[in-house]
Amino acid sequence: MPRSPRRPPPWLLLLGACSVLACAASDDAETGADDAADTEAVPYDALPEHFLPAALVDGTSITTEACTLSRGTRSTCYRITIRGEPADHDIGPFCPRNIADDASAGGIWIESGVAHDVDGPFIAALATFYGDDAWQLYDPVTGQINVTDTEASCSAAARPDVDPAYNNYCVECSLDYIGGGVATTYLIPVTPVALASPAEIDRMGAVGLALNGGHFDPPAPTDAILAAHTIAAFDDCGGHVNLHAGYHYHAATGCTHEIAQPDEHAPLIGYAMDGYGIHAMVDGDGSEPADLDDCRGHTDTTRGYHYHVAGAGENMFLGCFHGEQGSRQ
Amino acid sequence: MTTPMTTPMLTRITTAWVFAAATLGGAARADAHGGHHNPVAWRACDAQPLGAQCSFLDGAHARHRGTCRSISGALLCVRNRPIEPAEPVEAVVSVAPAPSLDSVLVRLGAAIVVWLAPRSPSVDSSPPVTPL
Repeated sequence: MPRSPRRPPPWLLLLGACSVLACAASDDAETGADDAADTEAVPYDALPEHFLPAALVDGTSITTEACTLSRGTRSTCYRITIRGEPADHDIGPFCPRNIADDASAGGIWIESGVAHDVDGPFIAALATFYGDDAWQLYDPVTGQINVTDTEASCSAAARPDVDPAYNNYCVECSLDYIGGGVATTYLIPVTPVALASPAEIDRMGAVGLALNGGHFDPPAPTDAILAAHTIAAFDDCGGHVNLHAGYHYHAATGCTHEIAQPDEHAPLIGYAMDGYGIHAMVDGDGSEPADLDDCRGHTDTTRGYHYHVAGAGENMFLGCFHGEQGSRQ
Repeated sequence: MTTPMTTPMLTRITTAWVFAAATLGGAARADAHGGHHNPVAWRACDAQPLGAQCSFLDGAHARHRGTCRSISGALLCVRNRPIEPAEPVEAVVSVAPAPSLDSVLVRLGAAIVVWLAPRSPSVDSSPPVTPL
């Protein structure tokens, strides 16, 4: 079945809200004091407060320094060194091992705007799915699926010119092959600088970073991958691993750290390279803003300009950059 | 056993041939993005300039509307309006009257190129080719 972004069911949200309200009411009754200082939300523009501590490389904190933005503006940037692996969820699974496996054994695959569960039946039906009989990722006798489960096979299958020996494989790599996440330092403008016209997203560039220490990357160049009848499955959180970038996201599925918004606006999930906040796709009532610009951003009085990610099946986060970008080092 | 061709089928085939003959270049450009996870979004902007309005049907026949932006070096239809629920198949393949030949060709371009593409289940008259 096509996947929807993982959102808590409304009844759970309601239950949670009631619990919080009940606790707050109880506390007030007991203390009889206005405890606003303890319950005040972190200001929206307090970027360092929004990242999970475990998202950062051990021993580092978010600092500020002088920087030059993408169009030459001299500014001040946050220096953020993330671990390059999620602090709040496990990585994988990506590829099921047998065509009898259910969805819990695999991740997702994105095609034509829809995210599909990569379970055994999906692998078995790839020839039909793509209308190409050359797709045959499994042993028809045993049902065993061809998976790149070694560093050598991952390396050979994940490169742009896929090794012919790994045609018809489900490609997955482990962070263990490269010693864990790829720690990366980002310089993100403290005060975003809007552009007169939007800047395009470069394939080799970065889109932004997640509050859990993961990378938001541009769409992957998968022409060669599909031409070799391989799929580089994502896990249920929309990420996968390569030996150069480590674990990185190509889709937001709702399982990374979020900062809830007091007005039921979609939660904050990360920051773009231009310093504007990246929010989940839909607001608390399940609706998507109808006034997004070409970059998938809009402005409100609470947050100023900010983005909303595209759907999990759309293979993108943003459409362009509204502001001058910082850099990834 | 053969199936008699219906008028809609003939219309579609004729339209496809006319468009294919007129826009081979566009089809070739579409193939260049054939491996993208969301090829219909790229193809929707094949005959469009940067910033043009665009739309396409996803694999579940839902309508995406947005503008053409350059991402990773190619124009992609970036949705900036809420996804519209699945449309009836008839609405997908019909071509509404348009005020000019150019606009007709542009609309046919997005619809026919996607329709002819082997990987895209979006605008075929059969149910979506998904195993799940």
